[in-house]
Amino acid sequence: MAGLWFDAGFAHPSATQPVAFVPLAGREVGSFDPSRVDPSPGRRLRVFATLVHCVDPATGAVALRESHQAFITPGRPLTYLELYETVANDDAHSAIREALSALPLRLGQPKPLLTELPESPQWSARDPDLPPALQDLGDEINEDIREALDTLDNPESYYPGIDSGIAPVTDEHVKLVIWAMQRELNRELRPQEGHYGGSPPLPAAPLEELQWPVQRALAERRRLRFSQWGIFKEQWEKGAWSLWDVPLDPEYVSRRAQRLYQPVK
Amino acid sequence: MPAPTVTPTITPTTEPATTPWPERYTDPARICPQQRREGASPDVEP
Repeated sequence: MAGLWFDAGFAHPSATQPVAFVPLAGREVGSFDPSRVDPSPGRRLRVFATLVHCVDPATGAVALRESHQAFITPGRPLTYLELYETVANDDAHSAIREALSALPLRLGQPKPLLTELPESPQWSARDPDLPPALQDLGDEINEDIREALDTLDNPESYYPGIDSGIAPVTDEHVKLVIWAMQRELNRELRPQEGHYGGSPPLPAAPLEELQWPVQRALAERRRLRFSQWGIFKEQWEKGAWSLWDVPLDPEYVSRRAQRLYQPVK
Repeated sequence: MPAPTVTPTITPTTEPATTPWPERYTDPARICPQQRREGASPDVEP
């Protein structure tokens, strides 16, 4: 009989019924995908929500994302904020807190870290990427690249760098960062307006054509973005980062979500 | 009976002076989520 297989508490709305937006703080733990446009606030909460998932809606059992073995079975579904506060404060979850304090910074095949421009760079099918829990960090850097490209059309437009709060960025590092960003833009070219099969793909944006102050500002912003997720040179060298170093920043909403989110009417 | 006409093919210009950058180049925001994470280049120091 149709309709009886799911728990009433997790009933799906009909296709014609709009889904009400519930911020993560009040949303029951399920499976949070930060790559979807979701304006839920909370810098650390968004990262935390990506690292866990519900494995039994009836009991509210939750496991770390790479596991199906529940570390908590509260007997009822918890909200993400309730779960976060439990994990952060309850002595019973010290092992989970420790696991969340040493997370891999890079996915993919291990490769040498780059501190200078390679003399003869080799193209590869995939370069290291951030883990999904750091999707917001990747998206913020992406938004910075996007805003920098506006200066191609409007050379006088204001694109400030970072004057304080980050370690100074050398000219050589600016060149390395721009090269690395270009490496990734070149990899995945998309047809115009997402129309496949008809129009030819557009070329990747040429970052080296940006004015030097803009290139420098872009590299400085990238350093700032990493620091906003608690990632500095030390974490980069170790290849590990900690959820607990990510600022709580409860009002934070990603710029991508701010730009693309359209409330259901 | 009117003579059949041929609709001219219009090729979008790529003249920088008249075409905004999102029509000349791929918009970085349109690439996939995994690629946006790759774009952070975590093999390069922050």
